[in-house]
Amino acid sequence: MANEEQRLIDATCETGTEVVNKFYRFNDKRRHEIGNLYIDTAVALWNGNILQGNMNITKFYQDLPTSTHSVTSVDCQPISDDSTMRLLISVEGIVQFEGMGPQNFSQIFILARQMDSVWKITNDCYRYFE
Amino acid sequence: MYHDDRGGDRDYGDSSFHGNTKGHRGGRPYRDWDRDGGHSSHGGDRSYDRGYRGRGRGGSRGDLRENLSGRRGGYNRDYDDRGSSSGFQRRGRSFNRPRRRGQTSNYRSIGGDMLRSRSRSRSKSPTAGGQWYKVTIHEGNKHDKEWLFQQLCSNTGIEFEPVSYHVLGDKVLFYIQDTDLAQALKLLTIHTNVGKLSIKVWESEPPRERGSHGGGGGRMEFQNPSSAMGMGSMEEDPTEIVQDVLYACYDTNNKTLNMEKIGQNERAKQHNLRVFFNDSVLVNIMMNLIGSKCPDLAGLNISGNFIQNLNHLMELPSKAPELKELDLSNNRFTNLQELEKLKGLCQLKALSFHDNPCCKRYRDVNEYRRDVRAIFPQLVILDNEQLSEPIILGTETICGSIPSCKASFLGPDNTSKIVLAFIENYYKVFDSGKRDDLIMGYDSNSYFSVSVNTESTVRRGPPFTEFTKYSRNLVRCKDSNKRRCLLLCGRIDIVHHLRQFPQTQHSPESFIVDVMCASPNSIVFNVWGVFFETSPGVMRGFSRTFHIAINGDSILIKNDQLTLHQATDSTSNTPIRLQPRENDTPNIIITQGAPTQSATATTIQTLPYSVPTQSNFDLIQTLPQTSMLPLITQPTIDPKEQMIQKLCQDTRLKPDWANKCLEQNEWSYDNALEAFKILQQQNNIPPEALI
Repeated sequence: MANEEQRLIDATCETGTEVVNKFYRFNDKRRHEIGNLYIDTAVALWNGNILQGNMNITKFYQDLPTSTHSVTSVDCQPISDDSTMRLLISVEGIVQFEGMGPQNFSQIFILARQMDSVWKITNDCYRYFE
Repeated sequence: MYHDDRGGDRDYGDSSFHGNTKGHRGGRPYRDWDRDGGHSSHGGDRSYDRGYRGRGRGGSRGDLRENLSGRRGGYNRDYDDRGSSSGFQRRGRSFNRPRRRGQTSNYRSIGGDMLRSRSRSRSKSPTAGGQWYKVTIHEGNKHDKEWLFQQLCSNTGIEFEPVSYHVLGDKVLFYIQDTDLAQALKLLTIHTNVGKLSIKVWESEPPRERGSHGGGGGRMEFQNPSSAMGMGSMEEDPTEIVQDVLYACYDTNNKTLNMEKIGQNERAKQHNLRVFFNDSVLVNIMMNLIGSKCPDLAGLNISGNFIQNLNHLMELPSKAPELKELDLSNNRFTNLQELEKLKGLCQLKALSFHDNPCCKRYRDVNEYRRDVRAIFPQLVILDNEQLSEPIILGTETICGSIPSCKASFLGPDNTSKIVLAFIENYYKVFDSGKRDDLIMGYDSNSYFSVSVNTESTVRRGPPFTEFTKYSRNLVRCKDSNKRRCLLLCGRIDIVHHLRQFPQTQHSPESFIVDVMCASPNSIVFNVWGVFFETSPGVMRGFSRTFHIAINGDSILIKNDQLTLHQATDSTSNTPIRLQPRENDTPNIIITQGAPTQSATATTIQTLPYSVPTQSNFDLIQTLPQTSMLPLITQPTIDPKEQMIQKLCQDTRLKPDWANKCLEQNEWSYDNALEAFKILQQQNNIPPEALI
């Protein structure tokens, strides 16, 4: 049992860091594909603005100016209460949008493992902090 | 031609020149140095040449020129001379060699060094005798001055005071006179969140006096030397001055700020402010004030302010994203591409940029318009003239747009009530010193972890000593075993862990809360805010995600993920944007089975949930109204207020002085106290500051 839990935590960390790397790579370089990372009914909050559904999220990201994210902190926990495997990831870092100065940002993701054992984002929440 | 080559501001004469040349010319001046003469005799000894080319200092230029020109006629030779390099040609050293130029400069620099070392003892510096060094830090303008020097001092272990500190483009430039320090700085590498700092150190002439710098006249020094230690500049709090000036210039009806020729503004004159926009400290304060007080600024006029570049104004797009009109005319911009730095102003419709040196380069006004438009495609009016329609290809968006930041997203009423009441209760217990009581708030399979994010854009604050040993930041913590250990599972471990955290003071009224998803039996939400760590006495920022399960009349925390970061002053100044709390907010208890509270808890249970699934998360109508005013329904103790009171008690300072002292020490209690003690020892505390 203990071993199983250890494996779960190890896997969680690996998945979390990999997802974070991929997400910001897509966000900075391949925005048009960012929709692939979300489920169809995903909900995102961006500095208090709500975005519902994969389509709206994708469009929103494509309209943003070019960005460069540098991630300085990641933490990841399994969400244990339900049958579907879910992860809770929090990220902090520094973002610079084209034509703007650097900003601290914080982003939280909830990921769910899909039927085909692919991880997708179901919710995310992004905010600047000073 | 010497003038043409080296510029007109050089000190020509030098006794070494005379000394050096005497032997070769037999007491007669040898050459014609006159710029307009067009002729010159080169030749003679090499050392003569070198000696002269060096950056001599001290001797009298007038004398020399008089001496020389007096005999000019007799020594004219028919050389087609185009500067010093032809001297080499004459001497046959480097005929037609392609690298002639490089050699010339080599010679020049050798000569320069020679001469400099000689002129050292005669330097005009106040502490004559020491070699001066010029230090430049590339992209140093991105960092706070105090932070920078704190870094330099702590990394070299040498306390020093920079002389003639100024910002030039993206470089920070200052002078020092300490050889050990110069050596230490040469070897120093400092890593920052935006990369490595590039520090260059050169031997140099002593810095010129501040007042003799061209352009703009005298400059107000807010950071007088003692302020590095604390409260030296109390009477001249720059934030207050800037705020005062901004108030005088702000038009509330149109949301415009008219700072045209600020040096001639009456209010600015009162504060003895002449150069405003070339002072990074003042402009930084101004940017932060705009961001916090009027982020919806619509117009800004900063024409006629001797502005050369926009380095200090880089933050304008993020601080005032809704800016529509900007007047930069009648400044000193020499490069139109400077405007790139404001490209993020997506709403900009009208720009004035006329009467800048770079505009004169355009013969064709259309070319000028094209270049401006390449940067601001959405522009409608340029220099008060209507532009033609923008050309938009296909469905492209004119400018990537960043939506403005909104208030807390709390979801429908019932969710927000649960969340807000939970936060209030949780932090009440968390701050009470009896964190054991939290034990029933967690489950036997709850998770908790804390990460420390040491990187931040603004400045570095106090270290996270107490917290770093618990940090599970996966970017830094690579060891699987450590990662497992630092993820705490189960209520006993979690609460044991929380008990070891330092004593804290949160003010939930200032939190920003986003509800990420909600269902009848669980809510995930995130909290951003600051807290005051009482025992070292520092402010810290945090972001914390809770996943709570609602089961009948009890709430259990399933996931609790905390990230700590540096708190900056502005975090605590952020307008408080929480929904007003109704007085009858049900008091949700986070402990299971407390019978006395069941009545209120039942109220929650009977609330209908309007959000059954995530996909049906239609909350737009129920968005809380953005409130820019603090809406505090019950008195709470502001952590800052607490620090001020403590400092007053410990030092007998008056509250407003204690406030300033803490402000200048970035709300680090220990630093403030330290600064106070130092100044007290030096008898520098004005009597009126004490009670």
